[in-house]
Amino acid sequence: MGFYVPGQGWLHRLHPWPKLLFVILGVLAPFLLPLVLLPVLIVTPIGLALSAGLGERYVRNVAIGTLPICASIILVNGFFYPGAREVVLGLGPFHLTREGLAFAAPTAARVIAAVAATIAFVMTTRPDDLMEALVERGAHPKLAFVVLSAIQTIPRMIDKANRILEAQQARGLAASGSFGARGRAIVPLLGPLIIGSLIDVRERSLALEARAFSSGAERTAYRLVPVRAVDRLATRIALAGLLALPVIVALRIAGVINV
Amino acid sequence: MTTRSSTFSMSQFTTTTIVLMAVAIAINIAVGYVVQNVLKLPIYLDSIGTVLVGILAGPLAGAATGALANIIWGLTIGPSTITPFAITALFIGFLAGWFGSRGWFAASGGGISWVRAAIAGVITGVVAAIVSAPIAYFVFGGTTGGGTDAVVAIFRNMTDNIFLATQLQGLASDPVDKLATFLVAMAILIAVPVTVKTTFPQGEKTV
Repeated sequence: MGFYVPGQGWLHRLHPWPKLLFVILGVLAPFLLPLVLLPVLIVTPIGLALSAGLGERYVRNVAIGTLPICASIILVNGFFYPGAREVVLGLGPFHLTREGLAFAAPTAARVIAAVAATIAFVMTTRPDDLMEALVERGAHPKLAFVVLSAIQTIPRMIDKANRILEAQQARGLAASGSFGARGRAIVPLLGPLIIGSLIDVRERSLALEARAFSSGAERTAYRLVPVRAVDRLATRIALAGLLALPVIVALRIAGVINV
Repeated sequence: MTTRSSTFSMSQFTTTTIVLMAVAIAINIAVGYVVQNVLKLPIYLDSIGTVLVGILAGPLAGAATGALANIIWGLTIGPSTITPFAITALFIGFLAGWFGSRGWFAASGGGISWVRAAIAGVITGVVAAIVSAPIAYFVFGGTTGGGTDAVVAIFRNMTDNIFLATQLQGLASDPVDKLATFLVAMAILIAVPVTVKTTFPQGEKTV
């Protein structure tokens, strides 16, 4: 579920580990590197994603992920930037200011760059493969279980919530209407959902224990993602980028780079 | 049986805790959906799962649940802009676990436990607001992309400082939401059978 879509593009075939390193780089770089690089940081993930065949769905996901927050950033900062003088546009009592927009534009650009990188990553990486790659590199298998189990449980939980809503409404629960009525619906709706799930937890952990969940024995994986030469190269490039970040930040702080 | 020293030890990550964490992450998302989209209330309650893990399993488990919940939410269905607030969720889970370890949510405490739960909620809400403000400021220029941005706008008009306005918006909404969350958690813990509660590391403290 979620953003992942199966595919055959080169991003899909790239090993999850370099992809994870690249998305970390792609999320940190917009906030740490000089502003002048922002256009590159936006175009690069989008270009790579499109070249890997992610298509219209990718663009739509990025748009949905960024439009609300960017609209907020631009409107709130554009109209309500303290100490701003140069009015660009006046709408009644509200003034759009140049200083506000000058603050909002790079802020919004950073968010777009980070989201573009993130969506490219989640659309091309199966959670199972990602968690297996992490466990191979030392992550605790129980962490992998929590993540994968949570991802699988989310749609079932929402489903359960909807069924409880219908069942309670069939018993006369008002889930709309006055504020008080909706507030009183919290317990009849959430109560069965959460309490039922907590009781379930006991059953599930017994089942896991019966399968030696906490024995600590070495586990094998069902799906293996091979590491190819191109994956190793990608990993090296990503690590180089990640190591370069603190260096660049230090140079900026020291004033050697003045952007 | 739990001892004081195990509150902050890795031993709280039993199999039952692990399963609870996974379920709690899903609960966060489902509850967030019900409260926001179905009931359309001005609170979120989307940290209820994190809080329950904290109270029942301990502060470390609570913190881990909070962080993982935000990350998973942002990377699967939600707006990915939720992910940076994993740090806030970490604090929420940790505090819930810490208050739980002090026995603040004991059902046997009667009225006092409700008062304690309320206080714990408000304190956690204030901490959450304080932790979130720099994140909202540095990552999103002081906005969140939600309806609460109207509140941000109002505070910006009142103060001369973006950071202060962001902080005030957080303080206006987080303590209320966390107060509601902790009270709902209290109600749920009272209703959960004792045999179920005590399978968790800190469960006995809620009896």
